[in-house]
Amino acid sequence: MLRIATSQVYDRNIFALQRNQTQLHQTQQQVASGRKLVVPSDDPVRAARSLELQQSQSVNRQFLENIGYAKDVLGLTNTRLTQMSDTLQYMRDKFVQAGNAALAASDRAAIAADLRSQLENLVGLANSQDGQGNYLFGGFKNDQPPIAFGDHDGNGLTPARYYYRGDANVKQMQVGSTRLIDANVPGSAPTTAGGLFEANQSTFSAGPPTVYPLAQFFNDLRDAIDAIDPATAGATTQHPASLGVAAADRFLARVQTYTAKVGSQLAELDALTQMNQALDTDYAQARSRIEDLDYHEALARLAQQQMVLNAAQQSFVKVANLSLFNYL
Amino acid sequence: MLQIGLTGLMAARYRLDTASHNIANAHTDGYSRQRVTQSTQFPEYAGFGYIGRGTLLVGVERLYDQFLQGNLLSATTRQAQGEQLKELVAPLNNLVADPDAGLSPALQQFFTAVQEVADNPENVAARQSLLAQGQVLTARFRLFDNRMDEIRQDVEQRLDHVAKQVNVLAKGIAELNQQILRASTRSDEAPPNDLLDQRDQKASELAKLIGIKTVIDDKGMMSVFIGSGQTLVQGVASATLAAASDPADGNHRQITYQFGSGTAQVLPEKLLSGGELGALLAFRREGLDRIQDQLGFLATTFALAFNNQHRQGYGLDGSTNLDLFSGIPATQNFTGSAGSTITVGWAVPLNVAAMQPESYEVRFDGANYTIARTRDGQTLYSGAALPATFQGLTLAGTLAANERVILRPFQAQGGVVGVNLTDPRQVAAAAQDPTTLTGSGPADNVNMLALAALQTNKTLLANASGATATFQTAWSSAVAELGSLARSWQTEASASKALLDQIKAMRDGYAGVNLDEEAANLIEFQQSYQAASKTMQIAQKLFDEVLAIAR
Repeated sequence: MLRIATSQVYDRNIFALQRNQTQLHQTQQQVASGRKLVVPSDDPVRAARSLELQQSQSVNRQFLENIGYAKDVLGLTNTRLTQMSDTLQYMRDKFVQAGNAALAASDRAAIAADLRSQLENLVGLANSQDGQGNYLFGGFKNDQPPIAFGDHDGNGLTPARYYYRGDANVKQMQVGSTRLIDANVPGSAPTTAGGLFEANQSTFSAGPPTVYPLAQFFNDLRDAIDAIDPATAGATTQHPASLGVAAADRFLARVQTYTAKVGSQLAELDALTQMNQALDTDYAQARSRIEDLDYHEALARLAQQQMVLNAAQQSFVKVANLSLFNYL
Repeated sequence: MLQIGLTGLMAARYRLDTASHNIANAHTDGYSRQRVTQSTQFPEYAGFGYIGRGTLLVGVERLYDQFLQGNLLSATTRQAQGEQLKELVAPLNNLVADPDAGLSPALQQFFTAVQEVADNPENVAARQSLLAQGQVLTARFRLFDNRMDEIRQDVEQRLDHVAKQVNVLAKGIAELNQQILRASTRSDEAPPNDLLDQRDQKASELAKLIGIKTVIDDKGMMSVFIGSGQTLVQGVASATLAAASDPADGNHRQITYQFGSGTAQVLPEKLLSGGELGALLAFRREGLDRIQDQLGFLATTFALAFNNQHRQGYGLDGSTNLDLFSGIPATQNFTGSAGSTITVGWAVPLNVAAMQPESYEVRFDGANYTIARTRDGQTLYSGAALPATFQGLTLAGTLAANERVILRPFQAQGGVVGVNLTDPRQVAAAAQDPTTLTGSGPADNVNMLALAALQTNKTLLANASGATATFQTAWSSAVAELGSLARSWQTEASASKALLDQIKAMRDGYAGVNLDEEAANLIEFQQSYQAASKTMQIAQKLFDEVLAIAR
């Protein structure tokens, strides 16, 4: 027969009550927080996995943010490029019209005036800003209008030209773990004439005097307009319009090349948005599997633990009342 | 006959007293129930046979099992250590757990801010937000570090407190030894039960503080040994423990031991297992030092790697070569046990991938230097001189022969890291100076993209094939390591508690007081008392009869 000391009866019951209470408290904490994991010791491996998933999800959400910014700026760029395209198309038509040998000098003067205002319009588009006032086509130097007209090499000798004050840099945005997307169209190319405005960045020199690259497309258009304007070319010039058509075509081809690039980037960003959103859902589900509580199971457990605690309390009171001294 | 009745009366009386004593001590810790032992008086020869002369009180024995008592001591020590470890690690475990207040969310929000600047390098508000998130992140590092420092102070104070308690109990056992010796010399036959119980109880309380072994010598004196056989109590003398600061390790205390007028010696930490003391030392070594090293490691590598890249870039105002984070010292001095100084710095060029979240013990035996990591004592280096660079660190200085020093290059760094920049324009997003004509412009985000890559690039904990961890994974594995440790300590706490309960049940089953049993005894002995009185009454009646005949 097992002998039991009176103190044991109390010790054991108190221990059992404490253990039941601790378990109940743990379950209650889980129910209150909605989380399966409350402290890392509950499941160390899953706790670490959960932290890593949190980071992956956070990074992925940041990519979605970045995609949003890229879409905003590329969407605006696309609009401006389309407007440039329209303007250039209009100018080309006017150059063709000016090539008509039957035109009177006054008609050509009128066309030239129209073309000059269209050129101003084109410069305005080239100096477009985004919502924050940053210039779209200036490379990294986006804090000043990229196209200016005047003395580009500061020597005071050459006639005024259109020149480029931006640089050839392309700003990139991270839209995926390994995908950086070009988020702007610069007006120049680093070593040769190129970029949106056919400027050669290598001709830049900080001086003094500061020499800026020429914006060749604008100068070509301006020269072509000068060639048909009786005021600058004289009344007798024959068929000068081919110069303008060629200049407009070159510029137009460049604008369309960039429009195509930006268009395909926007399409890619749309695809990336969907992919990253799906990934976000995957991460959320994976985290939920690891972290979130199964309420049905937890509430059933809570009820069971309550019952056990209740039974332990009641039986303790009954056992504690059993004493021979009650009958002495 | 009157005499026979008297012996019975007295025996019943003492049995009632003993039962009352048992009842009174039913809940006294360490009490062993007592029992009066009796035998018959030497009988009287009456010509035809031996006539019984009543009962003889032989003594009062305590129901005590030396084997169970020994088991109880070792189980007590183990349980106390397990329970203490579980409780000690709980605040750390809770600290790193919070999904909102943890380090990971702050790290993620910081990198989100970095990406925002990469998207909008010309936007001063985005840059301001980056600096603000930097403040949040470094404040989180400091908060964690402060909490760990508080826990550390508590541990160090408790070491001192426990050492003093051990001394008090050891002295108590030595005094009880003396009293027991005195009581035993009065009568070899009668052991002083209550004193023995008290001494066992003191030993049991001592076992809660420190792992002990006890031996009872032929005079009945208890000797107590600790560690690898150091005498804590011998006869009526006891040793003194103290928690003294380690000259080779700034803020760590070590346990010293002194017996009588001998010189104080340092008890190696590994020998002191069991009880609260063992728990405090194991927690400090495996839990607290480790997680604080890892926190500081993350703060250090993150700040150094970020600054390193940041210095290469340019701010909106053309500033360059600036640190974004402040606080991580370029060099740290550590003082050895003989007063020499070892200076630790960061390798040039910076090599965060080679750094390890460790503390090191450096020893010089007069010919060779050895470097071992403190958490498990594994030797990492041995040579005639200190290596100039070691695991991404630079080491400078020399030690005297037989000198040692503990290097903790990372432990304090979580508490000192901060944000250096105050002007958001100085955030170096650009790879070239955006203010000069030859440089780039405000949209230059090249350096910011390189900084943003630090979030997902593997930068840390290189093995032969390169870096293996990002800042995030380094921290999540530290959290997992702490979680596993906490879990194993929780398991040990409940396993050792179950074992102790089992042994206690065996001991109490044998030696504990059962009040029902004592109540039955009271009734029984009361009846014996009444019966013995009755025999005396009859004896008196017989005497009266005799007198009546004579009258």
